[in-house]
Amino acid sequence: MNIRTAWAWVVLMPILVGLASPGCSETALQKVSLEEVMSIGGLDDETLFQWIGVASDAEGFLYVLDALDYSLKKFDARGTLLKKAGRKGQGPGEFMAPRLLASSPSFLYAVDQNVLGIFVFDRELNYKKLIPCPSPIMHLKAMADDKVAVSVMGFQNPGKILVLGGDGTILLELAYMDKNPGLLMDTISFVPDGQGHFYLAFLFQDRIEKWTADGRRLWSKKLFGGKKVEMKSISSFNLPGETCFKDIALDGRGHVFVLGGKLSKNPSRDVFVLSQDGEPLTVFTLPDASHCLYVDSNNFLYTRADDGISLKKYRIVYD
Amino acid sequence: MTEMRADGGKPPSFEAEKYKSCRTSGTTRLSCLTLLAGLAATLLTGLYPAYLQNRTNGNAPAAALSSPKSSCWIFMDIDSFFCPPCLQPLLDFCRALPARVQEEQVKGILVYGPPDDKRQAEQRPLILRKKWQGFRKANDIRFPAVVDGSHFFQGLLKAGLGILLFEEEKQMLRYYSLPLKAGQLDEILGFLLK
Repeated sequence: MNIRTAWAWVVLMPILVGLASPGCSETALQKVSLEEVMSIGGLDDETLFQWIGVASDAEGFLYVLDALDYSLKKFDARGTLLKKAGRKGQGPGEFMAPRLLASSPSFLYAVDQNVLGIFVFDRELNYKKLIPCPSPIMHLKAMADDKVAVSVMGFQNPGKILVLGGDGTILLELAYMDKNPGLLMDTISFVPDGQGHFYLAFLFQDRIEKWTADGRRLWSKKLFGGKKVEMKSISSFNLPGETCFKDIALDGRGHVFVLGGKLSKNPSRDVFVLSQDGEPLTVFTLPDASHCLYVDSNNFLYTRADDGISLKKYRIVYD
Repeated sequence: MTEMRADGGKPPSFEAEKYKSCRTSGTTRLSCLTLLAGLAATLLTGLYPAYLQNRTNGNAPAAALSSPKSSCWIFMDIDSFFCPPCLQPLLDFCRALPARVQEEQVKGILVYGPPDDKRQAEQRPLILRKKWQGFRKANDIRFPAVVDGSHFFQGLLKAGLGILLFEEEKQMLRYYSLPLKAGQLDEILGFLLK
């Protein structure tokens, strides 16, 4: 080995090791900031009234579910409204209380709070079918065409993620609660990583967890020292009155983004960044309070602004 | 479901303190009620003649028109807009009201908590008005609404939705919380349709 070869190894080895081990680049992450690249809605138009769900496709089209005008909207990459579907009602593709939205390569999946199932639309917003679900759906993610994951409300058997096929067949059942924690205390936001893992953020407990699809918990983290949320008695039910976390997402580098709730220093604005191993890396703060975090396939982050009449798209900047 | 707003760790504003005291202080509450009664009296005794004056262009005697009708104000807390099931009683009530009654005898009051900062103080009334426009159009609601920029009514509103009825015949003020109890819808309709 001559000197040139040896020198090349000295220079290249750390780079190669760094590329092979994502953990190294994660722990080096010091700071995340956001650059706004697009805003949809606002005070001066009738585009959005209170958007509740957002999804995108590989071509850059954006789909938004609006709770106040009961509609599903399609925007181009520049934020121009192309099409609007749905209205108030109980017919096919109509909404009474729209709540969740997800997308796969060919389809959009929408959940209405009053319906036991998932509406399926094509990308032109044509209603296609209903995927039945045995329980009320609390959170939704699309895993592939005709394969969706949902967390469901369970009274007898709380704490379940179901993976459903296109006809409603339960393909997988992941039970993530050891015991019944009380009404709504099992409520989660979750995100699958495409490698057989699920990341969970509990809305009313100080718990962020990573699970395998076959039901093994890989890790569990507390970000607020295990602090408990305030409970309220409503109609003889003891219910959580504030949130720990609101949403969870994965960025293009595999970092786990968790949107903090009321227990955060900046409620609904602080985003905790964790490594895939659950190590806290950094925290950044959204300009506006949001109920959700969505990261598209090009690693742009979408959040709510102005109480839901605006949707903001940000470039994620890593330092 | 209540949507939390970030306060950025700042001390509560004067408006927030005023709102808090209005909610908690019995004396202030009594003052608020007195003021409310005053408002009602003004509406019944002062505004109606003005309203009739407008209707007749000042040329015909008021008695030539149909007698004044009962009317109501519907209070809507912005938090209700984040909770579709919470809005259902309002929609049920609106469905029971004929379009003409909604247009002529009903007014909405959009109420919200005091702002955390100057930006919110400027933007929230506009945001609230926009949300109302979308919701009103999607649900074919006919009555107009105004924003309570003083936050006066939020201090009084126990539930997210309420109806204040100005009964013309007995010159009485009646308050109902939504969802209505059995028989209350018929009672309200009886007054409004009389």
